[in-house]
Amino acid sequence: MYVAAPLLLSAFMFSCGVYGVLARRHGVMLLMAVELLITSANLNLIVFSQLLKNSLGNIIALFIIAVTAAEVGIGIAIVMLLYRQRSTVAVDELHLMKW
Amino acid sequence: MRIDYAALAPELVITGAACLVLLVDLAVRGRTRVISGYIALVGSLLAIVLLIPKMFDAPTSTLNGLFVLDHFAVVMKIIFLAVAAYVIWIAIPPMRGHRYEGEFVFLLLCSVLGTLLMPSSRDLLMLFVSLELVSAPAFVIAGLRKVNPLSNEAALKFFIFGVLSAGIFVYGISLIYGATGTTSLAAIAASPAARAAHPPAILFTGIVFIVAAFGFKVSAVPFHFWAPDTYEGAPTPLAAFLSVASKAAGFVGLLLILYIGFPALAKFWGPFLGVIAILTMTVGNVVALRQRQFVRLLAYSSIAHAGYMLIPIAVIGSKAGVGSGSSNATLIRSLVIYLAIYSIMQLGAFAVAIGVSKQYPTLLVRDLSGLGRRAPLPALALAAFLIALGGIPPFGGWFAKFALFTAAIDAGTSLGLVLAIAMVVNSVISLFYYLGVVRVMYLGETPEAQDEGAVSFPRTIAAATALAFIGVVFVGIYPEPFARFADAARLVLHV
Repeated sequence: MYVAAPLLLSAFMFSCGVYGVLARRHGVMLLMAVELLITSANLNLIVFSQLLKNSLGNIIALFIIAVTAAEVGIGIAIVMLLYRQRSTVAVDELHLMKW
Repeated sequence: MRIDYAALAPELVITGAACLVLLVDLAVRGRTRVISGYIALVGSLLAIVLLIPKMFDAPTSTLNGLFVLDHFAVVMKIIFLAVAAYVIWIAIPPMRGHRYEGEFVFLLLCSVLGTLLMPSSRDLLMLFVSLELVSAPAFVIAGLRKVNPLSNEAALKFFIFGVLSAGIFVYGISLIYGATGTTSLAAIAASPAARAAHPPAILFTGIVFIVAAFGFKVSAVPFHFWAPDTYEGAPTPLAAFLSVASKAAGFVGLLLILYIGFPALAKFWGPFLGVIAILTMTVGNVVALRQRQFVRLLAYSSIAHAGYMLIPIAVIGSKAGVGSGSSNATLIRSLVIYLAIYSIMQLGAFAVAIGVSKQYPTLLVRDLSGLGRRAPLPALALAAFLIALGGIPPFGGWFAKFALFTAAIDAGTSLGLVLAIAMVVNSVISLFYYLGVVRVMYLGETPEAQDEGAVSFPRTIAAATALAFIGVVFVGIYPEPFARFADAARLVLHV
């Protein structure tokens, strides 16, 4: 099986996710970047699972999907609260606390 | 598969207490909602009682080896539960009458459950689940003061860094799984990829990612940016919990993965952690020097202490693997001693901060001026905690630093020597800000606008402060029983 292509794709997705989380502007975009980050790891796990002929990777991916769903749910709640308080989801305007 | 419920008893008790809190909080109204705090308190103490006999039992494992109860796990769980009980206790006055009083207790118990699972985990998947169980409820608690913009900002920053670290962690897991074909730590250590003369690069990348993910959890530099903002904006009891229990869970996870999973690659991750340790303690202490807000000061001081606590893990790495038993056991013991004593000092300081915050919600260091006259006993206790954190005898902190220092020197490697010296230099720097706060308390003038009246402490907080004060004095003068307790913490590699 040719694995280099999916692994490169997942590395690219991971980089996009990290960039999206760190260069954050918009609350919802940030959550999407988080999803991208986790999905890249899941893609990796599934590819390796196929490569190694070992179902463990698929099982881990399922666990990760469940945990991430819970986590992003919390994230949406926090962003909603932000919107109610400030009528904006611009995350880069959060600087009440510095140093 | 047979499940050993006796080994899981503390986790089951905490789960039961959490469910009970959720139900009871639905049923009661008004002032009686405080009962949820007491249920959690009783639950954690009961779990400690259930754990004590396990100190004398042989290590067991259940759930197909995913869950191991050795003496290291028992000792760490007792520490986590004691911290949880203390945090719930000091959270009762500030959370009383709060709209989300019951939710706070429930979420805190969920987080405690995660810390309990951490020292028993022997599998990367289990470690991931327990790490998320520690963090995810804490994101919610950080934002619990919904009308306060600071709290919201704290929650969002904590969430961003938390999920980023989770993402990096799962990516690291996927790489390690790809290289070794397994996620069980013992099987990883035995796998051909990890034992090869030239391990694949993918394995090194995986280790770097996992260290980075735990770096967020223990707030090690350069992954520490969330910590001061989150501690300042979140409810102060949560800050106390994060700076002690959640951080300790991070250290435990890091130790388990590196020490059990990758002993053969210690030459790689030992110096790597050593560099992070030196950076962490230096940045934490230097930035703490210019803090004007007390909780932020404690946050940076906790970052500096994270640097000290990385030392034993880094030195275990430099001492060529698991084989050389006694020096590694000394290093693990020194980490346990440091975590336990640091918990007492840090929680005591937070208890006083919670007491003062009723009158001075902003909690600037300036607000503490004249505390020596206005609340003599809490001020005395806070001075003791700060001096202990600085590591001056006769208060507890010196023994923790001493144990860490001797363990690092005894390991007999140049890395251990360098790190021990860095710790001593940093302890001297840290005295400037710890003693600065003590000076403000006793010699600082109260601003003219404020009255000179006594600062009133809720009775619960005063009792909790007194308990931590007794602890810190007792450990400082007579550390023997404490050292024995830590001696019992033997990490078993194979059950």
